[in-house]
Amino acid sequence: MNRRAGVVISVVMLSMLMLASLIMMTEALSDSARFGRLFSLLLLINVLGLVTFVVLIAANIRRLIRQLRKREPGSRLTLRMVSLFTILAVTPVVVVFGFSLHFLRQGIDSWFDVRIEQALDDALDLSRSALDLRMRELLKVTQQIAEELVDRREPITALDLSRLRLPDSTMVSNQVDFTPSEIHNLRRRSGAEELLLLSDNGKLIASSSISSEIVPNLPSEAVLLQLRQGRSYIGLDPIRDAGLYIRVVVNVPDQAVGRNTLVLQALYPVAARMNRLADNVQAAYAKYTELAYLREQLKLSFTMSLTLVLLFSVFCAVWAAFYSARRLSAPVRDLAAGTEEVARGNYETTLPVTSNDELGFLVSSFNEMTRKIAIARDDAKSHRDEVEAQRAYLEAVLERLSSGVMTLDSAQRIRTVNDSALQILGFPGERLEGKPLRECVDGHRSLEPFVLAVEPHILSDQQDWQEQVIFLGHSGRQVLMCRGTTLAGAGPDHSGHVVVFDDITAIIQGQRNAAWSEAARRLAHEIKNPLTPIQLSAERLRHKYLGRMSEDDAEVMNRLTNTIIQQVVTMKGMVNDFSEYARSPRMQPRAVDLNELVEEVLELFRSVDDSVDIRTDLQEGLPKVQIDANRMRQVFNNLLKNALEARIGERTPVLEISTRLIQERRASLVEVRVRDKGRGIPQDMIASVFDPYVTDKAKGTGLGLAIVKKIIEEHGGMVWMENNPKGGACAVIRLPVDAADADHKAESNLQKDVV
Amino acid sequence: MKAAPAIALSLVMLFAVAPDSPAASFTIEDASVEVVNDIYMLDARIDYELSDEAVEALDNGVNLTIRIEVEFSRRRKYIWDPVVARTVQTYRLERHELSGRYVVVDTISGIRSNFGSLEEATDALGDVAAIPVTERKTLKTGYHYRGRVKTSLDIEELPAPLRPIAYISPSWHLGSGWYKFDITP
Repeated sequence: MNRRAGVVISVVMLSMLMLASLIMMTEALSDSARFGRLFSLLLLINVLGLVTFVVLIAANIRRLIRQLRKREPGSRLTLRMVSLFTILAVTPVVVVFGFSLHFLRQGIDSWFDVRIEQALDDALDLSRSALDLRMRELLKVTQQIAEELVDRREPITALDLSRLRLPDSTMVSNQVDFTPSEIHNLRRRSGAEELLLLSDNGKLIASSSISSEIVPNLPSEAVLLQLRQGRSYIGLDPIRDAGLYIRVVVNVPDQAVGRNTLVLQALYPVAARMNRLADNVQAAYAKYTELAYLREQLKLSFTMSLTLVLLFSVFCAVWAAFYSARRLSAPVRDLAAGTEEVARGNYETTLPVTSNDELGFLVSSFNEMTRKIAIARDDAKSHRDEVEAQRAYLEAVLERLSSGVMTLDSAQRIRTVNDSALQILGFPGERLEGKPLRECVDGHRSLEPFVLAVEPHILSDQQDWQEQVIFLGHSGRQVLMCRGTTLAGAGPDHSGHVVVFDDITAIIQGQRNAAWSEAARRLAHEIKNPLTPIQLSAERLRHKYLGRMSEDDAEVMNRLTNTIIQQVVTMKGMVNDFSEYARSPRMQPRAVDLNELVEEVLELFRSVDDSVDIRTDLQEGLPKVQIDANRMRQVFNNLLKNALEARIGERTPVLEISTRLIQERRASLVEVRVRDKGRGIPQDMIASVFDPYVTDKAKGTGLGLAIVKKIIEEHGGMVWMENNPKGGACAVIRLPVDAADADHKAESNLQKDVV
Repeated sequence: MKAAPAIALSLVMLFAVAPDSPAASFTIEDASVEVVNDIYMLDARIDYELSDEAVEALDNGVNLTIRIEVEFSRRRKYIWDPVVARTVQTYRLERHELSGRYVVVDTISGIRSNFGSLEEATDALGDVAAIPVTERKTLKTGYHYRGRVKTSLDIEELPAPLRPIAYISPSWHLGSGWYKFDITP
């Protein structure tokens, strides 16, 4: 801003200087004595000033072109304003210049008139002829004086100036035979102001002058030459400041020698009035001829001055156009730049308000607008931050929830789902947001029950529903407690459902196990105690009375007591089974090759009963599973026993045992199938066959499969019973391979047992 | 437009320099100083030859001013020579139309001399005698001095309208170079 003010002040000062010098130049051209000598300097100043202006304007044009190329805001406006201002300012100036030039040339031409020229010439001639008359008279007078001198002349020797010095400035050579007073008288008589007697080579012999101080005005060599040729000289001489003089120089004839050895010069003043008039004529004539001579130069000079004035005006106007255009377009440029900044998102832009006109108002309105936008943006941002914080808070809470939370929109697309939900449904780490619920479970038929349970509630827009869902999850049978409600949101985009579900499998299992354990423990306790006295009593009966009885009685006695003892032993076994079920020894899992374990159990079986045809289909390279080998051995024992008991009068019962590795929903599982060729399981029992005391067999406690299930579940696995399409039943065990997972499951199950 | 050539000409005048060289020039044929009454006086013989343009202007009533500059400087070996004395004498050459004579005016003393022809006038002008330069004591014995003299037509004394032309036209740039001579005090 300071720099700009500096430039403006400099330009204004330059303009003033140029204006002053132009005025002075014009004065100088009008033949003013004041600025006459400064003319060249003024011309130089003006030319330099114009060059400065040209440089300034060139710089401005260059800047404008650069701005136009860069498409800077406001540059096109500046260009338009500059063009407009320039045209507006320059056109009238150029028109005025053209006319001025025309009038100027005509004006100068009109000064010069042939008649005036003629009049001046005539005046000069008139003066000359007026003087001529007088000059002729004076020639005669002088010639008379010369003749008078002829009679008295003597040979001339050197001049004795000391002697010649006389009052009234008359001097005479000592060789001349007339007295100083005589020559003095001669001068006075003739009316001359100065009378000189000279030798023919120009040496002064005698003189008399009216003035005492002035050195004698000797004739020039050319005059003397003319006299030597025998012609008298008569002419006008402008001498000093005294005005015109008539100089007459004549030869003083010398009869004796026959040649002119003396020269007489007389200076006659022209009459004062005559002198003045002649002087005026001379001065006017001189001035006029000078002007006439300088006519073209004068025109040229005026044209030049006028051109300088024109260029000065034009350049000033162009520069002012640039300056004012830039000043006018500055707020517009600022506004454009500011708008761009705002568009870019920078609302802190504040434009300087430079004027209090409409543009200034516009700029301050813009500032106000950006300020308000900035406030609104800040508000919105703080709002958004708040919402975001709340959302993050809610998300954190949801993430930490062990319950699965899933929200669905009206089209049953999943909107949000937390990690626990993904974990429970078996999609850990997947992104389900935006997918329809049905699409998510496609390919996971086991999740079908979940969808089937949830869907009706969602479709019917039911408020606050609750349902228990059982499905086969990746870690086996899962029981979910689902609760849901309709979300009341603003608009269709925000309405939907929220479904919250908890995996209560472990809780139910734990509760059931605890109940059964308690029942078994009590049963064992209550029954086991009386069994031993019963057995002992029966043995004592037999021992004491068998020998004393008759053959027949003894026979009966033996049979009855044997029955009692056998039944008690059986009951003891049963009670042991119960206590086995109730007892939950600490698991000691280690990595075991399931194939090896199966082979080991089968080997034992074959050694006991070789009537059974046991076929195996064990997959090679099974990964090891984390299991308690002893308890798992019991599982296989129970299953094999169960399978053998299911045979129906065949001669050779057939058992098929297969193992394989399966992948289901990212989880690796080892599956063991134990298949018999028996009669199968009635369809209504198939779901509860693993519950205690559920059996279709005549004998058995009904705890064998319950223990199998308990142990498998303790290992985090699953077991279920299927009927073969070709007849017979098949027990399926699935154990997770993942060591950590197995551990975790085992651990959690143990804890639940403890509870 | 009648003005167009005039504008063009004035622009040309401002920026161009005429290329032709003049035959006319001023030449200093001889110059010397002598001490008269303890004052150094310059005597010189100068050949003034005016250009046709200058003569034409003179005959049309334009007065011509001729400058004679004299400088005395002390000679030194390694550094510049300081000017110890300087004087400028100007003469005005006029045409007196009424009497038909040329007048030479010594602008300092005001003494006018009349001549019937221009040759006489320039001859008289070229016979420079006794221009006082400086006092004798200005020049110290034991030093070497150099005098130089030059003469030129003073363009600045011309009428203003004539000056722009005179500046750029070589026929108006009349002058001699410096004529140098030694002075021994």
